Amino acid sequence: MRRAISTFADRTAFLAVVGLLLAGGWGTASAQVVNLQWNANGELDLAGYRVYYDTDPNTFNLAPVDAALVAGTIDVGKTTTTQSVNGLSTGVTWYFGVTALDLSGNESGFSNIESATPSITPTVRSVSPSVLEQGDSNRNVTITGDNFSVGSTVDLGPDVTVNSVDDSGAPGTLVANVSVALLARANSRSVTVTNPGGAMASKANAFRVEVDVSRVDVDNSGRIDNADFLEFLVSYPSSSGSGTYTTDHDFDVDGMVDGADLAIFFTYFGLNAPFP
Amino acid sequence: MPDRSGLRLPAAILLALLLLPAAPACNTGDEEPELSTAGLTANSRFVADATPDCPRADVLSLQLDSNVGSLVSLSLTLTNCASDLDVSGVAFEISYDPSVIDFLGCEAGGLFPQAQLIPGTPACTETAGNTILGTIAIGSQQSVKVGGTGIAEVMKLNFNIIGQGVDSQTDFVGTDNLASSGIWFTDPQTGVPQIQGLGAGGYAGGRFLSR
Repeated sequence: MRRAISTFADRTAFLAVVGLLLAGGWGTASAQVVNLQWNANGELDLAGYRVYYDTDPNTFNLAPVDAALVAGTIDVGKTTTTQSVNGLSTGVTWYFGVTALDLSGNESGFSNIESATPSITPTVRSVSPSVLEQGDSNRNVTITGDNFSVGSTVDLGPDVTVNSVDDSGAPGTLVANVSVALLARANSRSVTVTNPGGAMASKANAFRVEVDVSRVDVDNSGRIDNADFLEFLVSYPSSSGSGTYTTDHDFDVDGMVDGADLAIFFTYFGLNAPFP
Repeated sequence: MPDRSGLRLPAAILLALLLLPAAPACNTGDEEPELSTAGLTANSRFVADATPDCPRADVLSLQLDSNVGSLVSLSLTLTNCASDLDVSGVAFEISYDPSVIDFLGCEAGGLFPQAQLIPGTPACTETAGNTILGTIAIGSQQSVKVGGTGIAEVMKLNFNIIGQGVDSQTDFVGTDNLASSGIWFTDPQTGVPQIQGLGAGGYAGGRFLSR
């Protein structure tokens, strides 16, 4: 008597892939890529893995078979636990998940879902105006360059507040609305643009904060003259923390009332208000 | 921004290169220079309103230092006959007619040691109100005395006389205004800088002649 042999198909899916990580290797100028790696599954009938990627995180609430209809997918062999996903749009958050497939075509559920925002490295070419004064507020500064992404941020150094950044203009142009603190240090600064995702670029000495000339009129008389010089001499020379130091006479706000402040004073000696 | 620091004339005195027609001769009195028809470059000079002398005290005055053609150098002179002031600096403001004289710059005189001068001083600048505002100082913690004669040169002011046939009276202004003219001295008891206004009789200007 022959025994019956069961020929039921294997309908058991794997356990989900675990340990999905975003590896290094962020976006380049020519191809935006995210590198993935995950832990290997141990099942004997493992056929391979399928990488899913989409900008909509809700895709990964679907069953993989439905998610495959809307997301991008990449199939890799069973011995591979890494995959690079290329050609991704920069400045956009992408979501990634991995499933395992067996020899019968069963597919596991999604791994942990990871996300990344590919970021292209910008370049900063010019800044205009390149000079503002202490105390200037709500001034528009136009920054030109390359590879600015939607949502880029701008940094003009300490005590310069960037109120907003408008990236809706011509490509390669950002308009930053900024305000300079009255006691911002008067010096040259770098201008840094950072794209979403973290890629950034700076242009050294691209922006300068200059002294608010009205501060040199120490007694607020409307003229920079000998009375101001006499007051200035009370704290010259001194440094922050000493008894005679005052920011009223530290025109460049570098923590010292020194020769640099003297030079500033004599640059404007004799001027009447309104000051430049 | 124009250079507002003190200017030094080169060691070789510059000759004026102005080409001007001959001025008519005229008699203007004993203190006036004898005029000729040689033109502006031969007759331009400065006449002080008063001569610094002791026992007059605490006077800032302008004196002729040198006169080569139309180039005139004045001495800003401090008279302190008692030599009792510990002088830290001098501030001044003098009026002038820019159509007659062109201010070239200033340089330190002999009163304050060069090495002790506050950087940037002597500083002189032309203001929008047709005055020359200037200052020289060695700081509130340092001072000098005028010395034995009671008369010392604080600064040299250099001019080029460019007008013809007109004079430019040059007077101290703001003599009661600490923003303009005064003598800075250090109180020997407290070390605190103070300013002494020039007051009545405490200053004397002069007149540029251009004939």
